[in-house]
Amino acid sequence: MKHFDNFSRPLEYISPMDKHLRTVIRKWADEEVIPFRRRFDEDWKEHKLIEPAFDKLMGNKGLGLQKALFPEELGGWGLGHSDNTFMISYALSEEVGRADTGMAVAFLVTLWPLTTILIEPHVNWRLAKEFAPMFCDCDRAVFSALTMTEPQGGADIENIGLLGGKTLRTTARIDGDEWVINGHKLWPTNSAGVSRLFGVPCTTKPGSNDRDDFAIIFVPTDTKGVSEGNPYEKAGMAADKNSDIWFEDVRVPSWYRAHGPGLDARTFLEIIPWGQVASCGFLTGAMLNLYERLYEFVSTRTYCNSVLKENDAVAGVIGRIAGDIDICRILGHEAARIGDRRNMPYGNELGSEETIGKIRNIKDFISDKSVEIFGRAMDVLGAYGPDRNWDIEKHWRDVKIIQLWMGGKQLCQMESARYFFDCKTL
Amino acid sequence: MNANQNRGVIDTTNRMLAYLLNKPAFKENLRIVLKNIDPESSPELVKTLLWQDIEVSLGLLGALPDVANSLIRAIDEVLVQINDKFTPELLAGFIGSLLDEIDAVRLQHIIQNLQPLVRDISPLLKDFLQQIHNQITPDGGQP
Amino acid sequence: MSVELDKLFIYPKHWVNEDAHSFAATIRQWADKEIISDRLNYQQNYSRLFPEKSRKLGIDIGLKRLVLPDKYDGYGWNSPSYAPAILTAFTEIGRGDAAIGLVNALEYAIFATITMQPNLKYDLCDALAQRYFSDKLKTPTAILPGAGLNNQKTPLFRGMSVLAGIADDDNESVISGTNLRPFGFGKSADLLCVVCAQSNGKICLAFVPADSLGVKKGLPIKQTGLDASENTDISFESVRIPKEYVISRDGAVEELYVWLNLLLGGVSIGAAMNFFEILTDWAQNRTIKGGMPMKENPLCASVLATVAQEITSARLLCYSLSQIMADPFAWGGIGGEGIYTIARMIGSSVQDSAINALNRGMELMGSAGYAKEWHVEKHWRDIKTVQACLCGIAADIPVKMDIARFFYDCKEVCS
Repeated sequence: MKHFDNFSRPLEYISPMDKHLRTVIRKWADEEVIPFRRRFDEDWKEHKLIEPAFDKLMGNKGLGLQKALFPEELGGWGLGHSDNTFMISYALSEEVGRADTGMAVAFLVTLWPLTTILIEPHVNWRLAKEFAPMFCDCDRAVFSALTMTEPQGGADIENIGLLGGKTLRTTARIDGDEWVINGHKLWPTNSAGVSRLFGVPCTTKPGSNDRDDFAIIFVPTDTKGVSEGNPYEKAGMAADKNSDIWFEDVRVPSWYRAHGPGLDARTFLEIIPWGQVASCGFLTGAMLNLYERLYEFVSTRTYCNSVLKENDAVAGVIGRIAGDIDICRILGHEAARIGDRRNMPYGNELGSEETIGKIRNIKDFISDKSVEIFGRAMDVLGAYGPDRNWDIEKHWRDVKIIQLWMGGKQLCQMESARYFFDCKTL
Repeated sequence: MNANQNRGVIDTTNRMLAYLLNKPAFKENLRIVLKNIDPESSPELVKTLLWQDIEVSLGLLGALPDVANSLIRAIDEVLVQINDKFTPELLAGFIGSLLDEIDAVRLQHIIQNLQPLVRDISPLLKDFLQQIHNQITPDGGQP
Repeated sequence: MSVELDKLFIYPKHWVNEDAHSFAATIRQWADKEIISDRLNYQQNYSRLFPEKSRKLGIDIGLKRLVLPDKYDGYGWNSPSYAPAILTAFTEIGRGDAAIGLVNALEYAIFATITMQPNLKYDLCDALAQRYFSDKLKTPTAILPGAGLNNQKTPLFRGMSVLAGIADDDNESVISGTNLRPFGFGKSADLLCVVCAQSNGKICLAFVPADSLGVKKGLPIKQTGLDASENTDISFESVRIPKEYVISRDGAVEELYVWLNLLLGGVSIGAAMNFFEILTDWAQNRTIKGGMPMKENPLCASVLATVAQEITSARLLCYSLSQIMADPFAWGGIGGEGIYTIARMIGSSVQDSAINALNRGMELMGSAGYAKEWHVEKHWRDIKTVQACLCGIAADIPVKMDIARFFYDCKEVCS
C-alpha cells in the first residue's frame, strides 16, 4: 500500500461524489495549508497566514463551503435535508484534518450551532432566512460558535442526560419581545472576535433540570453587551481561537431562540453526534497524514544499517500504528453512518441514548488511539520526533485537545455505560 | 480473472447477453424479426401517422415547442442553480476531478482507429454521393 | 490541602545523605521562588528568564560544580555513591523547569565520563574545567547515535548509527560528520560531546569546543517542548581537537547513557510531580455532576490514582537504579552491561510512566490542561520531548534489543 486513500472505509456507503469532493478539498489543503502549517503556531494570535486559507475554503471567493447547510432557497446547498450529511461532513473533517485539525474544527464548528436550526425536521425558517445572507453572501470566511463551556465546567452542561442543564449559569429572561442574556462562557472554538454569530446554550430558570428550561439562543456577536477576551495561548490548535465571552444584559429578539421549550434541549442533544463524528474525522484525517510522514521516515532512515521499516521489531511497531489507523477509519465511518441512518427504519433518532452512547464510545476509542499512536510515532522518529519539520509532533499536540473536548473521556465513558448497561445514576 | 470480480452493471449485462446469444430460440426469434423488415411499407406507415387522425399529428407537432422549451428551461435552470450555489473554484475543481476520470487514452484510441476506417470507406462514400449527384443534376437527368 | 510531595511520593530517603537533602531543599526553594510562584511571567519572558534562572541555579547555588572534583573547586559529587543524591537534586530541578533540568543533566552526564571515579581523567579535566566551569554560564550538549540514512552504511553503537567519524592525525584527532542532531541546545552549545567512530569501527567520545574551526551550526529547529533548548543540526568539517579530548575506553558511551537515563528520569519525575501539584489543586476545587468535588467521584478518583501510581512507581524505580549505580562494581561498573541495560530499561519505563501520568491527568483538566496559562501543557510537551530524544530512534526497540541481549544472550539482534 502506498497511498493513504487505501485505508479501509465501508465503500458501500461512499457516494460517487465523495472522491471528487475530496479532490477539491485536498487541492486546497495541499496548496493553502500544508506549505504554511509549520508556521501556524506562531500565528496563533494574528492568524495572518491562517485567515487567507479559511477564506479560500469557506467564502464565496473560494470554495464557499460555509453555506452548505443552508436551504437552497436561501442560497445554500440544502445539506440539511440530505440523508448523507454525516458522511459528507466526515469527508470534509478528514480532508481538512489531514492538513490541520485546528482549521478543521474552526470550519466545522461554524456549521455546528446551525445544525440546531437547519437540519430536518427541525428547520427554523425564520432564523434560516435571518442568518443566510451572513453566510451565503459573503466572499470571506464567516464563523460561528457554540458557546457551551462555563467557568464551573463544560462536561456537566453537555451531560443533559443526567443533569438536564441544571449547572448552566448563563441565563435568559424574556422582557417584552426580547431575550435578555447574562453570563460568562469560556473556551468556545471561534471566539476571541472570530465569529459573527453565537449559538448560546442557556437556562430560562437557573438551577432547573427541566429540559423545557434549557434554551439555545442565537446572538450576533456585534450585539450590545457582548464582549470577548483575548485568545488563550494553547499547546496546539493555533488555527482555533478560544477566549472568554461575557454577556451583559444582551438583548436579542425573542424569536432568536432556536425553537422553544423542550425542542431546544432535544436539538442540543442532537448536536453531540455532529460534534463527535466530526471529531472522529479530524482524528482519522490527522492519522492519514501521520502515515504519510511516518512512511517517508521509516523508508529513508536506518536502524542497524537497514531501513527502519525492514527491521522486524520496528515493523511490529509501525504495523500496529497503521493497523490502528485502519481500524479507526472504519469505526469513524460507522459513527457517521449511525448518524445518517436516523431517517431509516433501522436507524435511531439522533438524540437517542443509543446513538449518543455509541458515537461517544467510538470517538473515545479513536481519540485514545490517536494519543497513543502519535506518541508512539514520535518515539519511532526518536530525536526527530519533536522536530516540527516532520509534522507529527504538531498533530500530537493538536489531537490531545480533541480527546479532551466535549466533556472529555470520562463523559464518553459514562454515556457509553449508561447506554450499554442501563445505568440510572451516572 | 477472479470469478468474484466485476459484478457491476455492465458485467451483468454482458453475462445476460452471453447467455441469451447462446440460446438458439432467442436468436431464431431475432432472425424472424430482422428478416421481416419491409421497407416498401414505410410510405404507408407515414401516411397513417399523418392522416389517420390529423389532430394527433398536428397536435404532436404543436407540442414540439413546449418540449424544446422544457429542455431549454431545464438546462437554463441547472446552469442558474449551479452558478448561484457553487463557486467557480469549487465547480472547476469538481469538474476537473470528473474529467480526470475519463479514459482519455481509450478516447484517443478511438480517434486513431477511426482514421483508417474513414480512410478506407471514404472512396465508397464518395462514389455513392457522386452517383446521387449525377442523378439529380440536369446533365444526369431525372430518376 | 497543601501538597507535601515527599510525604506522598514515598522513596527510600535513607539512601540520600543529609547534605544532599539539604542541597535538594535549596533547589526546591529556587524552583518555588524563581519559577513556580511566577510561572506565567517565566513562560512569557522565557528567552530572557531562562538564562537568568539557570545562572542562579548553576552558578549562584553551585549546581554546576557538583560533578567536579574538589581539585577544581567542585563539590566533589564525582563518585557513583552520589547517584541517589544527584537524582534527588535533578528531580527538584525538573519540578521547576525540565529544560533547565535537561541542560544540567547533559552537563553532569557528559562530565561524569571524565570526572567520575574511578575514571577521573585529570588531563581533560585540566583542559576543560576552567573553560566550562567559570562564572559564565556555558552550555554543553551531546550528539548521540541515532538514525542513519538509507544507502549509507555507518558504524553502529548497539544498532544505532554513529554518523560522526574520527581519525588520528599526529597529536590531534579530526572529526567529520554532516547534519548531526544534538540532544538539545545545539544552537547555544559551547561544548559538544560527540559519540564518534574510528575507521575500525571503535566507538569513542570526543569533546569538541563549539568554537573550533570547522564546526558548523545549521538553522534553528522548532521542537515540541523544552522551549529554551534551541536546537540545530551540527556539521563537523574536519574539526581538529587535541587527542586528549577523546575518550576511547570501553564503557564510556554506556556511562553517558546510564547517567542520562537516571538524571532525565529525575527531571521527568520532577515535572510530573509539579503536574501532580497542579492537578491536586484542580481536583480539589472543581465540582462535577452539579456539586460533587471531582476527586470524590470514583471515576475521576481512579484517574487521579493512576497519575499518583505512575509517578510513585517511576520514582521508586529511579531510586533503585541510583542505588545500584551507587555501588556499581558488583555489576561491572557504571558502563558495564548490567547497569547499562537496567538504566535503559528503567529510563524507558520512567519516561513512559511520566507521560502516561500527564496524559491521564490532563483528561480531568479538559481545556485548562491544554492552555499555557495552567502550565500543565508545558510539562506534557517537555516530558514527551525528553522521551523521544532519549529513544534516539525506533521508539523503545533499541532498549528492547539491549534487554534481549542481556537477558537472553542474543547474538544476532541489532548490535
